[in-house]
Amino acid sequence: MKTTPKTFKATGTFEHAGTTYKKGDTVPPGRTLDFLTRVRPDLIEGAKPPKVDD
Amino acid sequence: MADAHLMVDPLITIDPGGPNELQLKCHGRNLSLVPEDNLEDVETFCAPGLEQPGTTTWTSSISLLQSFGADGAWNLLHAMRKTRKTILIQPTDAAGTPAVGNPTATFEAFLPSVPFVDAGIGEKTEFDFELTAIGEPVFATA
Repeated sequence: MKTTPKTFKATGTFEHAGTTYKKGDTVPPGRTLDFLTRVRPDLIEGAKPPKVDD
Repeated sequence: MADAHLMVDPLITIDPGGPNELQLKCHGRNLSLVPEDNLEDVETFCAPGLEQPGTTTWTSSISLLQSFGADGAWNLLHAMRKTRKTILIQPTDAAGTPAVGNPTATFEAFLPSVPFVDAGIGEKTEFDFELTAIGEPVFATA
């Protein structure tokens, strides 16, 4: 059964590592997506917020 | 042309939204976040001496006044020394809400160990809190 990879979209306008993303742009898998998911999940639709240590 | 930005009320937050969230504004009085483009030697017989920009290293420095107590600079920063944290900087404090005229920069860095005291008679302890970004910051404008 094929699964469709989840796409992540920008929720704002930002620039990382030389690339600018606008709201609605797809952020491809890679270091920018990893970085944003970790430090600015609010800029990625559907990204999980970082785990909060107890 | 936009007016020059005069830094009066910046936002400097360590671990925004996290368990160790710390606002450094009232501990600091000088703030920088500056890039350095590393030049790569790509000269050839046809282009002697040619260099082109390679990776970029971003460093941040915050001049802090030492203080002690439950909300003292030393107590708070010493407890987080050598840990990897997120740092959020905004030219004018808007609680981290980005705007074209007031972007945010977010990056990760390992926090350095901080001095305990370094002052003469009747003097304050002031030190530079130096951070090297891991990778490049993300700059949000909306």
